[in-house]
Amino acid sequence: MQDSQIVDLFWERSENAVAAASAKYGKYCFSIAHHILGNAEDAEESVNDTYLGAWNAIPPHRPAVLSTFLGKITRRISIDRWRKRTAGKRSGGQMDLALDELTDCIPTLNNAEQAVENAVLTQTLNRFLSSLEAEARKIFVQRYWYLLSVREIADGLDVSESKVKMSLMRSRNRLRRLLEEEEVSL
Amino acid sequence: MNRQKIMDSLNDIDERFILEASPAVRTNKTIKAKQVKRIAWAALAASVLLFAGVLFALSHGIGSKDPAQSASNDESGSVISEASSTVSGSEVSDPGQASEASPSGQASSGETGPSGAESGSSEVSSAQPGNSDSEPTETPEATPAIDPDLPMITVPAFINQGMFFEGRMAYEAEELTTAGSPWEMTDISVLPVFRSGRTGADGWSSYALEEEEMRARLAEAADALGLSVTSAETSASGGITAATEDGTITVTPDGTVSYLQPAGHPLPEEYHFTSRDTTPEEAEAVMAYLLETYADFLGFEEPRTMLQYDYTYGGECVRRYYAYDAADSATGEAAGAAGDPTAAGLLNSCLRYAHFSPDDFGNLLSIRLCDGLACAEKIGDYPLITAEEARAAVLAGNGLTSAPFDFPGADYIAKTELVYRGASQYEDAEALLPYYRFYVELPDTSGLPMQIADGLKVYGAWYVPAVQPQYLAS
Repeated sequence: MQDSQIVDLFWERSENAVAAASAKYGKYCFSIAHHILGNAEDAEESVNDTYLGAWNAIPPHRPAVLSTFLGKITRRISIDRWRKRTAGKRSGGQMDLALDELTDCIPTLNNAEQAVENAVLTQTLNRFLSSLEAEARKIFVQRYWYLLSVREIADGLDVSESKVKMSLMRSRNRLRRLLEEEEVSL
Repeated sequence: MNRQKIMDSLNDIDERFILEASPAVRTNKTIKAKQVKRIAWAALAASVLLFAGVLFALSHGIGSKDPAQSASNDESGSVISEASSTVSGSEVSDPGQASEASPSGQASSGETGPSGAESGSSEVSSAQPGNSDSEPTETPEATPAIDPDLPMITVPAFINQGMFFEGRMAYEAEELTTAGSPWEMTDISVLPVFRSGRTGADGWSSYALEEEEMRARLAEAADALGLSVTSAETSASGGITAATEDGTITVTPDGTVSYLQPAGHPLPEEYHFTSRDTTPEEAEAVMAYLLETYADFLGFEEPRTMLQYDYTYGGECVRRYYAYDAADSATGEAAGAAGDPTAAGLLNSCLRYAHFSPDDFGNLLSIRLCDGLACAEKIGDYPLITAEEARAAVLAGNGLTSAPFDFPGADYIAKTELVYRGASQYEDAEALLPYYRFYVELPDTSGLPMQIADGLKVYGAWYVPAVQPQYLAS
């Protein structure tokens, strides 16, 4: 079933909407949730909450790309669930590691007077990602959006793990410089 | 915490980056690159073995009496050397596919579909080392003429998401027909191709309407519906939803205008309007009524109805109600490929159409007016291959599909149609171009994760770019 047809089902408030979305993107959403939560049961719950979120959002939304629309909901729900679950403790999953790595991106120059909205930071991230070479961008997004491990990224892109690590380090340094230049306070 | 703020903000990055990096994405290009790498390693290994064999033979005096005869009789040696030359050619095309695409063995492949040109170049390059006496005049004659004013087009990659793919379900192939579709194997030889984004004053491509453009569309829609906007709010995704005294109107950045009546708008009693049990005659009648009633909102000069069937996995029929404008002027300068009204109708029916949805009680729930060209720029009018050429390409294994199945064979092609694909279905939607779409019955769907009703057939969609291959960069 095409994405537009699935979205139509949501608009029609058809009970088949969730079944169709689940059949087409269930695996994709589960993969995102599982990488964040590292636990099948929690991941399954996040995916179920994703469909509820989509049901509430469509209409009035009409997502242009259904996979990323659902993926974003899954990611947000899963991160929230991870925060509640860990509450300051380390879970030992990819989320802990990814967060540790992102510490590298925080500028030492921190302009306390500047309150930056998340939307502004997202715009900066989009510019940063646009400036990367395609492969480096894929690696960065797979690591910090999909929360894939370095090994999974290396296997998927058919490159060495050291290349992935090097690419991530360069990208993080580049992001830190960009955030410093633009005086983005975090 | 700061790093968590980055993690949160990453959630809303541009969807293109997310799609590009999707671990589920296995594009043909990626798969091909891996195959090429494997073939290259195999060829390297074969070359090393051959070299070692030659050294061994020389050091042991094997074949030293008559080197020429030995070379001509050494079948294994010639096979390996041929394979090596083919591998170098196969960096741009799959030699196995090439031989299928050009069964006649001619270098001429302009008629064999999108990959035909690649196949031809592969055969020529692999033939050169061993066939110096072959006729060199074939290649120039076979090279199709290229209009220098038409830029090369990069065909968007197709997404393969595991077991989930584009297709339709039906009990019989006849049900795949879209009643009212403008293309019925007519002779369309030229169609426009579009860039999905438009170039702004800053030189960057924009894929979304500006806020004032969306507000203008909103005001126009409310006016056409005779409604007053009581409030409006902008959503996180950039769309604007306005409340009126009778439902809401939403305009999204891609140009879609949706009119939603959550409580349902009752239709006159004589009409039967449902997703499940409306007959074709009833569907035609209700569409005539809706097209007339909402004519101002639709703004169609020559409205045409398109009715489509689909099925749920459980085998329940779902009817879909569409309409489009068949007028040549409807697409403005963009259309009209060579002033062909059929071409304009095709463009409108695929990219600029209206969709009517009933609710569970036979009321009108929503009307969605899509505009797939809202942010598009026309690149040019391109010559097309024929449906037969596209069929040859798909039979040769050169179709594009998201279905995780091998093409099952010519006998399973249930339907062919000429369509434009919407931008949202692409991983990378830089170009909106026409394709031949083949609905192909999948003979074995036992591996699919969903339960499918008895007797219901699953048809996967295979695509072949309809633009002549000399204009395709990939």
